[in-house]
Amino acid sequence: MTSPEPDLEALMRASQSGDAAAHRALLHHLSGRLRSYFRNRLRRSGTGTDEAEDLVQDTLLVLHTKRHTYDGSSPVLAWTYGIARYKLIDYLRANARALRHVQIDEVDDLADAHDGFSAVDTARELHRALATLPRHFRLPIEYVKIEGLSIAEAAARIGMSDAAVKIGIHRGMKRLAAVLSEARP
Amino acid sequence: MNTDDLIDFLSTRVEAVDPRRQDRIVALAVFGSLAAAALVCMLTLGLRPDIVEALRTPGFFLKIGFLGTVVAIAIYGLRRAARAGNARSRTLLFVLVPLGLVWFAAGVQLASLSPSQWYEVVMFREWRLCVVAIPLLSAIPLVLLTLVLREAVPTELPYCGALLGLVAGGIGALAYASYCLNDTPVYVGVWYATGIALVTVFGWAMGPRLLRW
Repeated sequence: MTSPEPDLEALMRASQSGDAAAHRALLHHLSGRLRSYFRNRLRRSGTGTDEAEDLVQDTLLVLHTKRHTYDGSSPVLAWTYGIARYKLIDYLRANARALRHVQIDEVDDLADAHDGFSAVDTARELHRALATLPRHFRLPIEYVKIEGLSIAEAAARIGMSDAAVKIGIHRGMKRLAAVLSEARP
Repeated sequence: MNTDDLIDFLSTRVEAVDPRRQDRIVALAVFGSLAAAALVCMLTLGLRPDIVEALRTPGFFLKIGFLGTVVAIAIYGLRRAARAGNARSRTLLFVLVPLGLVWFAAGVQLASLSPSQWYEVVMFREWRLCVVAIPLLSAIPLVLLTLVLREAVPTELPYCGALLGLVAGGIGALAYASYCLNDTPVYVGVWYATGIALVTVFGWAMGPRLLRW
């Protein structure tokens, strides 16, 4: 920051005695400090910096409503960073909790859906089963169910009629289910 | 909302605030809770019957002086710790000075007795009451000061909680002194100190929960 540092303690005293212009100048200056603080810290902690602006605003609100607790015993910046650090830790903790939560849920879902098989194992097994199907069953399933093409696109690519693709998917899925249930004890 | 808009919004009506208000509220909470805890102590346990004679003995004043000094040091430390941006101070360590003096006096007292009497002096019959009553009486200052502190913005919650517990424990002990008959340095140095330490540890452990904002 190259702009000359304003006398933040004087601004704070003026703001505490009800000077709106000083208050605005103080918050404006501190918002710049807070923005770079939160961006740096979030980047360093490996979290996205998207939340930086929310944290800046959160902290500004605290600075505003708690300005009577600043008593001049420490520099304004030390006071501000003390509050910012508290907000950052609070956010990182909540965020870590949320992330952990999602991962646990996903693992549970996968375990429930596949009887303890991991997602990778399941995908490998599926492809192996698919490879055993004849071409007129396998290609419609690959193109439509896995790659997400429409029936018409798949039909054009394979050189089959729309109806043949639909039947191929239907019968192929049945065959696939039979192969997979045989493969599993 | 855009941050600049937020700043504009916050700057439309800036009321004057009093930075000394916080100190006045803390002082009010300290003296108010001391009076309330002493009243509760007198109503439940009663005033010590020899209070008039006790006021003429140095032991009683040493006890009150010790407890008052501990509370004063803890309040000083709490005042700093409760404000964001202050480096963590070593105030808690200063409490070792009055504690050391009391232990020194206790050592002198024990040295003047034969070792066979030590057990009796330390295990004065009411020590259990002392260790229970001080934490219970300190509940009043603990609750009041917690409410006051949450209004400020403490950032070092365990440390702040420990100082809060020390202040509250000291106030509880001062209130309990209106009932307690034993003014000897040994008793004060062991059982009063234990009661206050229990509240301090409680404050340290519960600080992050009690003082969250």
